Amino acid sequence: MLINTVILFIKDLLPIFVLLCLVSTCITPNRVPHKKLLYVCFSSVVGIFATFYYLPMMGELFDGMGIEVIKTLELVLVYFCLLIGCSSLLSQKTIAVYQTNLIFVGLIIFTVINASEFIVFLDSYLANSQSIRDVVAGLSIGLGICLSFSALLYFSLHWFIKKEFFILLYVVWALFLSGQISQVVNLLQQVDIIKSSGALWDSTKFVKDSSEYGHLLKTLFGYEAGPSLEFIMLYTVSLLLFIVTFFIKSSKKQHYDIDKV
Amino acid sequence: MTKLIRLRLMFAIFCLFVSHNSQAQTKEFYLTLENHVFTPSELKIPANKKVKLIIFNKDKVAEEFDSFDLNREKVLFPKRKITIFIGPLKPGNYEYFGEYHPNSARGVIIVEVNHVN
Repeated sequence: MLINTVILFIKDLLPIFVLLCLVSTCITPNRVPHKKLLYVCFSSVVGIFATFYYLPMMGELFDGMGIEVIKTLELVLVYFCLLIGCSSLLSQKTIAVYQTNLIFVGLIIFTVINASEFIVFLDSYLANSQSIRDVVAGLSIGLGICLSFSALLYFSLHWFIKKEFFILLYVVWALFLSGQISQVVNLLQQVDIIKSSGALWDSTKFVKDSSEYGHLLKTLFGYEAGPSLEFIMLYTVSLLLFIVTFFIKSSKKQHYDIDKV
Repeated sequence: MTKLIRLRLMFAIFCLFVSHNSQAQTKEFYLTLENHVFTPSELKIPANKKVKLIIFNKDKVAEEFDSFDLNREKVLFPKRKITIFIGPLKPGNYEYFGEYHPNSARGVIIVEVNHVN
């Protein structure tokens, strides 16, 4: 039970920690008004518990497809909010207010999606009073692992900023968001909205989906040991959108520099 | 390329990926979760066909049906049922488990070529 709690903590909550590290590359926390930060935290908490409460009812919508459909819409919204927000890295100017707001909206929705699933698990475990000690221990270990990893990631990303490797940062954002949006394929396949084809390859012998490395790589860039054609296509389209955004921002920057001259 | 041809092409590409769900052809199979144990623990389904898996949770707490082999993951709320589509699958054994109680809630889906209903 303790190990299970740790695994589920990493699976559900590590993506939030990774996203917070990435957001810190675009937004400096001490430049954001405290009121706004409080609003983001409050909205996230309210969203998490509201989603947890209404999740069974959401599951009954659309003939049992409710959770998948709503989660798909949320992930798509998160993707576009964060794509527009993180494109500020390319212009290297101060991030615009609307981009900051979009990043915060994406962060709130992403936190709600992942944390509400973890609350469902906690509710199931805490119903059994004998397992509370194991759950608390598991939460502590899980939190420690996530914080350690996040610290490493945070300092690595800020080293990229110091060295002005903004393109590398953009690539990290692209891989993370593409990995998250590609989960939409699995969601829609399991309720038969999208056709289900077999896996294109099987890399289980290298890294298993169920292993700790599998969970970590899935969080960082959406690793799947046996991805389907549809998964690969959506992943590719997502990366292409990032490339297109890169070229649009680059050409705008060139025009800006020419006008300055 | 005219606008009409472009629209038709986009619709054709869309149809390639959207599932053509035929209720008459999709067989249904049932699993029950009770006391954190899935019943039956071995479920046989036909190979190379899409099937509908209906899982009913008789327990008072939630469970999460999870399978890395099938690439499926869905929360089972107490006293409710869920529907998951799986396949078409090649012959073999595909394991699944309850993510919240993985020691007891385990099972395998056996995909066979000569499946008899």
